[in-house]
Amino acid sequence: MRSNSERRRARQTHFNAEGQAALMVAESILIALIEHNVLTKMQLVEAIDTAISTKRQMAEDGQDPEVSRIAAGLIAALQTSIASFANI
Amino acid sequence: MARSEGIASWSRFPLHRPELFADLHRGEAALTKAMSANAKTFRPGDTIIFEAEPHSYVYWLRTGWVARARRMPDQRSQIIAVFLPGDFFGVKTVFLARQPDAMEALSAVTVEFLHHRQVLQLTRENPDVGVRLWWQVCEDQRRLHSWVAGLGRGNAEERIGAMLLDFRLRLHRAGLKTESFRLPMTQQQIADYLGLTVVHVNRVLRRLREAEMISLTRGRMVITDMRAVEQLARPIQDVFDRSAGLFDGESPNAEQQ
Repeated sequence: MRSNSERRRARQTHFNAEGQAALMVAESILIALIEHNVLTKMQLVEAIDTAISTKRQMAEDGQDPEVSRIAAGLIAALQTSIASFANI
Repeated sequence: MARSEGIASWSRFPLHRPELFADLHRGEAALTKAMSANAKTFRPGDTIIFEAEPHSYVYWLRTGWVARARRMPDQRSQIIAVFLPGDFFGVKTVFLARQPDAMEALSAVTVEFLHHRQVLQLTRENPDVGVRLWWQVCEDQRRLHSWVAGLGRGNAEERIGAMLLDFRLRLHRAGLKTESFRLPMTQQQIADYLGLTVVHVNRVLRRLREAEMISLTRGRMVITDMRAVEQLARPIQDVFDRSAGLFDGESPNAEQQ
């Protein structure tokens, strides 16, 4: 029988895995959109701006500030990466 | 990495004014001899110097790879520089009581080290030591300038191409085998070095493999189409890296010049 702390840890690991999977699938789709000329990288960079500013605002408003701050950092890193996409 | 006494090649100190070769060689020999009494090993992922904490030593990297890394408050991280065998690092410790960034082992690492006061004393007694450390700082700075241009204006493929050529050339100059070389960095670490995400790094590496420009098997990198990778990297390389063959005569780029 697993203890409460083990169950919490397992749940947290599952959440982390879900978060990583979601972010990677989203980024892969963004890259596919650029590669298939559906959107330009600049259109995507602008769109991602909205997500960053929303997350930063949530952090300022005290909504899960730690999580929101890290999430904003992750999205900002994704935006930087998309901006360096070649030949578009 | 062979000790300095065994390295007679002019290519050990690329870009230098030839009249300084003997000074550089003597300076390196004196420094590494003084450091040889203090050796230490680290495992991959170990921190050698902690960010913002007091630190007293200057290091010579005998084997392995080391990263200068900065962690941001929102947990983004940037690898600012990668040190390869034969490099001195932590040189700023002579001037700074605390290092602004962390130094982390990317692979199993052996370093030799000396207290900053002894390094300073050595430079007073032997100006060649100062010349050698000065060269290290200037060469680090030159590469950093290229990297600023690459991160500011280069695209992901150019950055990856430039990174691979830089590692290969520096390993070659350190007297190590470069037909294939072990790249002891995870894709996340490569992403942190290139300002990309791990997904993007994976995508570009896959594209380069599919184009038969590189092969990467179990951490072993082979640049299979040197000409194509050089073409890729060229826009963000500085004039010295582009024409490395003109300066050291042994560059893998030499036939392109």
